[in-house]
Amino acid sequence: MGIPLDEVEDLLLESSAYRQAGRVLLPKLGDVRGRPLTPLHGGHVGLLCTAGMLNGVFGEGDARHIAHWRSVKFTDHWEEQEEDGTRILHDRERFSHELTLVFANGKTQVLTHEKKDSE
Amino acid sequence: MKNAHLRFGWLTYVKSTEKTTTSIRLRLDRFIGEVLPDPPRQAKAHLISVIGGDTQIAAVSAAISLGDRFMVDGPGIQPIRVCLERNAQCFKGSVQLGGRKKPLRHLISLSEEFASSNVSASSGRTLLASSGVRFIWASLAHIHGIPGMPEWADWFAGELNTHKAIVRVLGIGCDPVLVKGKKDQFLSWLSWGVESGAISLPAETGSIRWPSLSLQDIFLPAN
Repeated sequence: MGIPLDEVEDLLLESSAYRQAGRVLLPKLGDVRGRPLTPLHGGHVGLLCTAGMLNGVFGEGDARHIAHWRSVKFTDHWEEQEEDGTRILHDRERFSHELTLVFANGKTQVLTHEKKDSE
Repeated sequence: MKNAHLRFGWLTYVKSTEKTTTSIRLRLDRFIGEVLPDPPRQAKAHLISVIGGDTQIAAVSAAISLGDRFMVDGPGIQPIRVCLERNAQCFKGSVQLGGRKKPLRHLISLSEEFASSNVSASSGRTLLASSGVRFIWASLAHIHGIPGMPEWADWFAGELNTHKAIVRVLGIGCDPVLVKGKKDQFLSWLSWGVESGAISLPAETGSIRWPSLSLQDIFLPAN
């Protein structure tokens, strides 16, 4: 007996394989709602920001902007030369935060732990 | 839905050893591949989704781990040799059909490039499973960390077309695209768009609600 493709097609998107692959195929669009029980202090706000849970529209006038936080993996690469001529390649990976801003006047900015990056 | 056989493709795997030749032919419900310029009639597979029995799925899973090649054909796609290459990710599942004792096995495999958004962000090549403008904009905003509003999707799609940044790739059961460009480039388009008034920031301050997307939204509706 062959495979009843009409039935399979209807059921397939519910399979656990598609559920797992969906995490890769679909964008993870965080939608956090709610009201905190107590007012948030600076530390709370910082944690929520860096987790990308407070992405949105802020400020007024020329300072009005959309903010988007995300975690980024940075890789530092450097080389060392030994006295005997041996070359040692170093790669150090670390996670840091990145904040990208689009202002109402069209200016954009990418802020990281490193200096510079303004357009 | 009816006439699914018109939408499904075939995946064929042939393995020859000194004594035996194993040939497996499985139904393929989704496929994403990128045709390679050289040699001709070969493609790099990015997504393979097949259904079959226990043994067949186990054999194909092992073949993927070994980096073996398959033949793929389907609606609108002439037979082409494909390979997922190294470090492909596999996801397994099963589908229980009425009137059958054993469930049907399901295997999805993704190429390393497709499975890793980090690779996409740094290489300037972003492969997406659908050509829907809402999906493309939401995916790029997520992968590259671009601030924006969901309502800018149509405008951004226009920019991608203007800059010829979208390339269609092979697909069965979906309409995949390859978006070329890096974050700096996308931000410069946004900068111009906001400055020129083509897009604008909302009047209200607060969080941005992106509409949720499901697999049904991104894969072609059966018709």
